[in-house]
Amino acid sequence: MRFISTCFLFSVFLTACKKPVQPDAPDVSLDGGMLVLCEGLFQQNNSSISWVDFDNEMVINHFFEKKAGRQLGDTGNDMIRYGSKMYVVVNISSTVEVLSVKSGHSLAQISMIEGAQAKQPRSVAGGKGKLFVTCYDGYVDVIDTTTFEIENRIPVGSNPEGIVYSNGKLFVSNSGGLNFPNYDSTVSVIDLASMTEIEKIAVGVNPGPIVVDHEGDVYVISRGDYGAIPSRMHKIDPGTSSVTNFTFDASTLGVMNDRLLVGHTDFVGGESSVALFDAASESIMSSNWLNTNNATVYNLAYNPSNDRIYLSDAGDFSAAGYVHEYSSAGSLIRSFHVSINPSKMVFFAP
Amino acid sequence: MRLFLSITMLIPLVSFGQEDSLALRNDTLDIKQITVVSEWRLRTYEIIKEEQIRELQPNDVGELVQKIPGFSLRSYGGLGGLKTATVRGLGAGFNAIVVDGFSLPNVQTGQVNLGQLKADNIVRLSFSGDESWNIYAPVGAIVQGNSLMIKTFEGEHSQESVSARANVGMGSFGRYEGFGAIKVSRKRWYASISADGRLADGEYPFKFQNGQTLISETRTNNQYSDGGMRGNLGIRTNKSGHFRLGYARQGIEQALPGAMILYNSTSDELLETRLNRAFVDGYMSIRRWKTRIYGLHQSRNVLYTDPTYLNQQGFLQQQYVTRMSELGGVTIRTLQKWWFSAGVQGRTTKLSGSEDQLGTPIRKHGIVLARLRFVGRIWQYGVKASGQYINEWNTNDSKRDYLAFNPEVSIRNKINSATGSRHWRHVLLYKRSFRLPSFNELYFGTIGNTNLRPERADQLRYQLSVVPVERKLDLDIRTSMYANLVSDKIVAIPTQNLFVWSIQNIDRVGILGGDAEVFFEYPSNRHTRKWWFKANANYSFQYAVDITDAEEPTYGHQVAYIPQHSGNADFSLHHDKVGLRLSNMFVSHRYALNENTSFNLVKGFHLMDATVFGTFKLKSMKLTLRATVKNILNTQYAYIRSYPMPGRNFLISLQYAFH
Repeated sequence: MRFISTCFLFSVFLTACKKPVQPDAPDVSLDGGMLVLCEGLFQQNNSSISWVDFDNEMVINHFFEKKAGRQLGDTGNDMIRYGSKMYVVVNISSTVEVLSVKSGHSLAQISMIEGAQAKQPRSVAGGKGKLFVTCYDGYVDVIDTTTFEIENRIPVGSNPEGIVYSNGKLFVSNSGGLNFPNYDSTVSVIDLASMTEIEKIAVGVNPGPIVVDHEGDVYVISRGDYGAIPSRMHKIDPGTSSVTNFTFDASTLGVMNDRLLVGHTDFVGGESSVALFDAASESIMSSNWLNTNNATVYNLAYNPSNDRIYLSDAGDFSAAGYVHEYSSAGSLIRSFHVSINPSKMVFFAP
Repeated sequence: MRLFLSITMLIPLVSFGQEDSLALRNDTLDIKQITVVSEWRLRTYEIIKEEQIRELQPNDVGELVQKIPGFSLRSYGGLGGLKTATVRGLGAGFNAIVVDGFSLPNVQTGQVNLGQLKADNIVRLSFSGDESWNIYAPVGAIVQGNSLMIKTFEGEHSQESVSARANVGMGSFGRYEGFGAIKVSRKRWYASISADGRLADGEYPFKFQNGQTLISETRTNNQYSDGGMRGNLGIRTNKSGHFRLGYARQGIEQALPGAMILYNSTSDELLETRLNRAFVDGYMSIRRWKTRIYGLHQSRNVLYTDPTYLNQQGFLQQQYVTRMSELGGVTIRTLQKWWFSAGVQGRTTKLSGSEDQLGTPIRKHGIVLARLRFVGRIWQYGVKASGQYINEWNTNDSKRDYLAFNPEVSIRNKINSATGSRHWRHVLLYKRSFRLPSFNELYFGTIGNTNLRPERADQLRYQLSVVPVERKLDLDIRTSMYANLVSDKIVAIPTQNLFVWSIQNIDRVGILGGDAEVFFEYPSNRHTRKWWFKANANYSFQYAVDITDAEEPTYGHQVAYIPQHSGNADFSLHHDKVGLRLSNMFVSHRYALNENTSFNLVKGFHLMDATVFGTFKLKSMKLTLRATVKNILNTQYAYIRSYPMPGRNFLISLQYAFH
């Protein structure tokens, strides 16, 4: 029996000889580069983080696994730097990973499972020494950044997605994505003093990505129904809660000083664009600020330390993607080959 | 959301008139009329007989078909779990499953769950990628890319006035099962009734590598139970005609463990399936015309429950009812050199239930078929042509029409036992087929795409078989080479973001492959010996690559989950009424996604099963005790990433047979 087994295994080795070689674990410090959260694919447990070293033009994929000795999990959805730590929200695994800002080493893993219910965390924001994590079960969890304990759960709308901090308040986009076709269309406002939802602001159908500009204005994208109702941008004044609606296509946002980078990909026609929006005049300065070469614009970010724009390109969503680097004037400089579905980026100054 | 298929066992009582041509003891439809050929009896795993099935003790048909060269199983694990098979690179939607002459379609999902097709009562399983002149093949199966024909104990007319089978078994992971069937045959009528049931808690341990750490966990929320009953009645109208009707019912309740998710072991989804089938057919042979008319009605009721779904209700429950009616007829006329066959089939399918997810689609599908075969002195030439018209509409105002013409040509040599020391069989075949998008692919929520076109496949195959006539060395050899092209492949891809998927026609897949198979038996005439030994080995090579767009990173890469190399090696040793069978299977590495990178790699594996068995006879009764250790080497493996399979497990069964 053993002989037969050995023969078979040998034959398998002979025929399956293209074995991958794992690179050595990196010993790098987080300077002069960026971490890119690559979401991976649903139910593949292949979410990962890539480290991009700008000076050496080096990419280290699966950075988290090499540092932590374990995988990140299934579908990383958000990543921020707050204080001396980084926080990575892993949606399907229902965890928040805590990393050291200096070395990228894993400091803790916060489970977002309560009883038999996975809360499916989506996005994270930091403020007043706390972490605020939107959970798809309709709450924002408040986590202490020293004990990593969940201190409070604030009820908001259905299936909250994005979250930002502005003017002493949290703004949470409620997608209602799991109530298809009856999406939510509101943004919840949480008062940080009382830790309660004080208002729901109506925007458009299926709110998702949300950012805050230098003046504290909040911009949110309502993604529509992926059919007849288009994806649109809305501005919320954090003081008055008034809403300004815009009529151009928008699916992702990046903040560049007092301007916004507005990305859009037409999945039917296969065309994409990144527009430059002036927050002061509330108008489009250029509808094609970046030459996207029809990349799948998945996320946009601006790095003030080198004055460059980064576009994460998800390609066909199932193969390894790219991050393209542009000058702030919109010229393509270079591209970095990262892992599957690159999305959020966090920058580290030299 | 995952929707599974369920199955039924059908119980026609008459025996099949003819078999797949490779399996024939004679190679003609009517040996009295056609002067050819006998002794062609190639043994191949394209035909798996009752004795082999019992020795293998498979959990289901899914485990059986992976013995067939060119088949690649996709199993999501556990008893009753979803199992589908690709054949020579063609997706599961190209496979027709036929049980006792009636097809088992699932228009909602487009694929049959082989994990819910039990093997207890199967006496013969055959795979036909060739043109088949089996009168009991429905027209819809004949025009499919591939067909899997299953014949059950209940489906064979017994020469005995009373015959019976019973089987009880128990195994690892809380598994218990039972099956019983009785047949009564008289001169002018026959009847049978059977019932079966299975139960398992399904919790099995598994290990997986998480980075540098080997993790041990238990597969939970994997309970499974099913039960079914079947009955039928056959009436012989005269010497050359008969009529049969039957009814089958099956219920399945299963928990869905889902993918193994790192750091999150919660899962609580449930699926219930109720399947009812009623069928009737009539067969008539007048002069050189053989004709069969058949009808089938099937209803499939599926109830999916997610008790902790994160919508406003706090749970999700969706019910789908698919009703399908099919009516068809086939006629075959044989002359000295010319064979002619024609067929027609109409099918109506309606899906109702969760209106907001799928609407209420109705599909009408008509097929006409004509076949011609010319039998020359050395070669046989075959031509087949089918036309199909599909008319479909949905309550969401979607309407679709589709018209298709599919040709097939083949040439093969005749076998003449009077000459040569061995028989050589050459077959060259080209065929075109397609598979329709399923209702889920067309209409399901935001995923569905009403602009989908059918997925098309062109198959070109050469097959060579050798059977020595002088049986000093009892050896059969079969090889085949093929080139297939799949166009407008239907795939699910994320669009907008990871949670917004859509079904698209985007891929083209080119497939080059070959397989080889050897059967060996010693001594050749085992019926006169106490000891005998049998061995079978096969190997399949499938180079199935994405050729959609040379600019894409996956161009030229092996398609996800199709192994380049796979094979089987089975050995059995018999002494009188006891025996031992070792069954080996290996599958080389595969990729979880079309991009062939190390991080998408799914490791290859080798499985070994061992069965010991003994048979004891008491007058007309026969008792057989079998004990199987599956995965004896306790290999930790997965067909699909994140769906770990069971390690070493056991199954013991006792079978009772009367006549």
